[in-house]
Amino acid sequence: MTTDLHQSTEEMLAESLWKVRLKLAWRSFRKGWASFVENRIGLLGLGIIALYGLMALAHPILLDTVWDPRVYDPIIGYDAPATIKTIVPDGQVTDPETQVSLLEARLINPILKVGETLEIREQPASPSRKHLLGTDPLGRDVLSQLMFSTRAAFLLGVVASLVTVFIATTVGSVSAFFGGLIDTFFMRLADLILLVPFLPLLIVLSALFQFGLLHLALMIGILGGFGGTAIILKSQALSISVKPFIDAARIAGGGKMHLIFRHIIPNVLPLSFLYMMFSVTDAISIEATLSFLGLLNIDMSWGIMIYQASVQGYLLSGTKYWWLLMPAGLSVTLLAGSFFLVGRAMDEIINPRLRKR
Amino acid sequence: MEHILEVNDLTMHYTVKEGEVMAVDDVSFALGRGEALGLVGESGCGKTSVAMSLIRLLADNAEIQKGSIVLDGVDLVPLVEEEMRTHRWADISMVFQGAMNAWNPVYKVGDQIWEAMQTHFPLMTESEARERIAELFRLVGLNPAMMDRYPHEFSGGMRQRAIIAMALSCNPKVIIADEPTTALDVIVQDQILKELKKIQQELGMSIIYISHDVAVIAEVSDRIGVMYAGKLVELGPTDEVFPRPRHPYAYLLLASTPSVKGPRRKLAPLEGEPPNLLHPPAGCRFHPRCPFATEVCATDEPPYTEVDEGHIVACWNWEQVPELGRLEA
Amino acid sequence: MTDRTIDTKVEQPLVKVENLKRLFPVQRGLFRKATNFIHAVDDVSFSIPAGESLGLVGESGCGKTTTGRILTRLDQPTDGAIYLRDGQEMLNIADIDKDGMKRFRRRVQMIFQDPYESMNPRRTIFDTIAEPLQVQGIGRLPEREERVAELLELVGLTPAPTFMFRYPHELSGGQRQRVAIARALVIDPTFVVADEPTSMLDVSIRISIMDLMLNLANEFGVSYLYITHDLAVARYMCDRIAVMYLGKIVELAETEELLGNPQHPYTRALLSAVPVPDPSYVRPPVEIKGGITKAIDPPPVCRFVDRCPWATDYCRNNEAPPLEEKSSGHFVACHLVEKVS
Repeated sequence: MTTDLHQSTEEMLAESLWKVRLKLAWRSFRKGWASFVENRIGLLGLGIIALYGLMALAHPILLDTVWDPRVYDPIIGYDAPATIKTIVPDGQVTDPETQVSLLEARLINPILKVGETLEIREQPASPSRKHLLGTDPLGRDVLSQLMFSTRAAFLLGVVASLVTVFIATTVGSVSAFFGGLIDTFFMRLADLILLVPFLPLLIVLSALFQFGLLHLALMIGILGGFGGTAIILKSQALSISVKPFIDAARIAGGGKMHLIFRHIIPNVLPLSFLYMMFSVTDAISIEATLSFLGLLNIDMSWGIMIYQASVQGYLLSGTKYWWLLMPAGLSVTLLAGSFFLVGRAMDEIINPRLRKR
Repeated sequence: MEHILEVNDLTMHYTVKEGEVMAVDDVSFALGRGEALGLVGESGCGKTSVAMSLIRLLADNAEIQKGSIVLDGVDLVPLVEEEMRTHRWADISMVFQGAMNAWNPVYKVGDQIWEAMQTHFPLMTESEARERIAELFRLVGLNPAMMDRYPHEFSGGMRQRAIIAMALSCNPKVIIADEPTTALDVIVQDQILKELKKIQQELGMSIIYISHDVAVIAEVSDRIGVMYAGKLVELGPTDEVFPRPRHPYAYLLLASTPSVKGPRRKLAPLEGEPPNLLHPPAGCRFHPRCPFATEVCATDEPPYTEVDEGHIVACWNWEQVPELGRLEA
Repeated sequence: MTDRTIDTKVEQPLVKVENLKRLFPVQRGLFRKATNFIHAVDDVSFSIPAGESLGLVGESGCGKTTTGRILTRLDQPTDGAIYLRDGQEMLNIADIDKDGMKRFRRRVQMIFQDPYESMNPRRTIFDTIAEPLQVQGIGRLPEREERVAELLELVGLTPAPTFMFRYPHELSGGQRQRVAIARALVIDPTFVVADEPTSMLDVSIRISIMDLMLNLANEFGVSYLYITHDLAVARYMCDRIAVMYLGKIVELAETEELLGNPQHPYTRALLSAVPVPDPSYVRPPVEIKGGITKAIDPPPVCRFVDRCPWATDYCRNNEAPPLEEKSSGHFVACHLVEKVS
């Protein structure tokens, strides 16, 4: 193991410095990955994320190839599978798949008689070979909607968490390093944001401003970044800024920017990355909630799917129309949950307290 | 001298992911009644592991592989935890490294000592206990009124004194003092060491001192054992080992200890670093760093040689080791 | 002021500290203004000739570390002056501008106590050692690489290329302290503050680190301010020793003179409390009582008066004794020196 290292570092010296750094980064990544893989829960989370990622990637390809956009487009597609049913006298329906009672038939067309056939268009339609997860109350394919929305969920999660972590890391490190007024200002701001309930605030804001997905992502990112995450990352930055290596860097002649960007932030980043995972979870569930309440100006998302089912009156229909609620609901839970699981697994690697060895 | 404690072939391993760490390997020594024995060595040499094996406060992954620890006629090794508990503190107690920082801040110091005593003296009344604690406090040089104070009202040295009082509370036959003064300033260290020595003489207590500081061990112990990489490499009377260490490691350890007395001399550096006990070197464990090493050292483990009465050394070339001499020469 | 400065025989010392003071406010409550102060460093003066090393010895809380931090400008003095020789000039580092600071950082470095915490765990050994070069913009990358390799060889981490791109956690404590020495010497400083650089290392490794520091100091003409609680270590490392007690220097002399002929009661106590690695040696009794306290707004009398076995009414009622030269090069701050000896 050690001789291995010797050889590789000797070879490294012959190469240019950026290549060496790349190799070192790769080496530490491999090490981290090895301990990550040990944790089954994290791997499960990563698997779920990968599955949804594949779904998001596959959707446009499917629409280009096998799926007819007129039928399968998640927003403007339409299909109501028709079944031909024979009209039988009331109370004599023996096979509901092929028969319909006169009473029900006359609700659609009052001049129909027993013995005639009736073409019934199902909307929402239950799962079939053509629509694996059925269609929604507007006759759109649920699977297609589900896959299409995955992209939105990822986009939202990634943008929101990147913004959160960027702001929180900077704010946390800067407050920890400078202390004094800057610290007081940012920490009181964080308290203020924590004090105002997050969701109701977003509800009011989205009602006022017609939020799109990107607006929402930025909003969640900003509120999260200046809020609780900043406090957590600040405490981490604080514990680093009092370490002797900061003094050593100061004596080397390092200025404020050098200390913050070369010493404090690189040591906060692992924790930032962890909180990035947790903020993806938050962002996805917040989007679902706001969409469900109909407050977002977006075409399609998992939240919108549930919202549609709800406004059409299917929310409390029990398991009969399960495909309207379950796929979207489960997806929100699974994807949000899987980022959380990955975060937990990373926590065990990053946080030495939780490390088993 | 009559032996209060006999340790024979004690071997203790830690099991870690990468394998077995041989922390204590075939260590044997005896402690006379009223004697002070010093165990000296670098961190990771196994001196604290010996102490933890004696009092049997072992981590989950540690196991005594073989050997016996006979305390006043009773072998402690085969005892189960329940049985061990009756001996721990009552027959053998310990002053832990850094224990002075382990006081619970929310209870009075006297109450914490009483709690420790209750297991062994369940019938003791409160007034009896207070009397006993007052006696212990006087013994270690603390004002008995301090027993009703909280730990934060004690200075570092006072806290360490109270720890010693607690270790003495059940009249143990043997006390193990693991780095009892390491975190303290020299003047306080001097006071604590004097106090311990006084107690040892007054009560006829048997003490095992454990320290990395050769000078501390030189002052307080009658005999000294030098440990290296889990092995006891030299054991003998302090008065003999110090001027004339026979093991090269003991020699270098003593020769590399700076002193405020004696001629200002060049100190001998010890090259290299202690071995990883997952894969200790074959033969003598010190041979890779040893200036006196010969071929046999790399292959065969050296047996103990009695170089003088009660002075044993595990080295093939002990005759090559030069005399160190006294500081006041 | 000048009559209080010591070492008149040294014409132009490398470092000259005059009446250095550092007070720390004792915070009582959140909004109340601090009215009490800990006198961590109180009216300390000394100087260090080029190429000579001074040991600063004392118990924890005596102000030795604060003095070191001020001399490296990690902390600011409340009052006093510190001069550092830079070529022909003396820079006053207690009151320094940006340009002066740059020059100062090229001259003064520090070696820290904790080899584990004094290196950024996310930077390689190369990054760590080259940091002073990098932030001060000295040399181009290949030159820096060469310089770092050269230093690694000097501190005994060979072959250098095998260490350059390792991380601190891959090295042992002794190896890291060698890296710390390399970092301190990479820009050729003239003055290095070493704060207990060996106290966290194993006994067997200490000597090799101390020897390394001594050899490099000789080779490059570096002066150390060597901060330690251990008189035996100070004896090994330093030409002169200053003993501090509660923020004041109580005695300062050539090493052997101080150890062989201690004058101040505190120095005597400290010296007789040090265990000696020879069982046949019987130490004289330590004659002081009580423990060390904190210097919170101390009265202007001698700080040692409560613990001093010889203290008289004169000591209790008169202003603290100044640090005076009692014999050639031997400075003591005590009213009673003649009586004690």
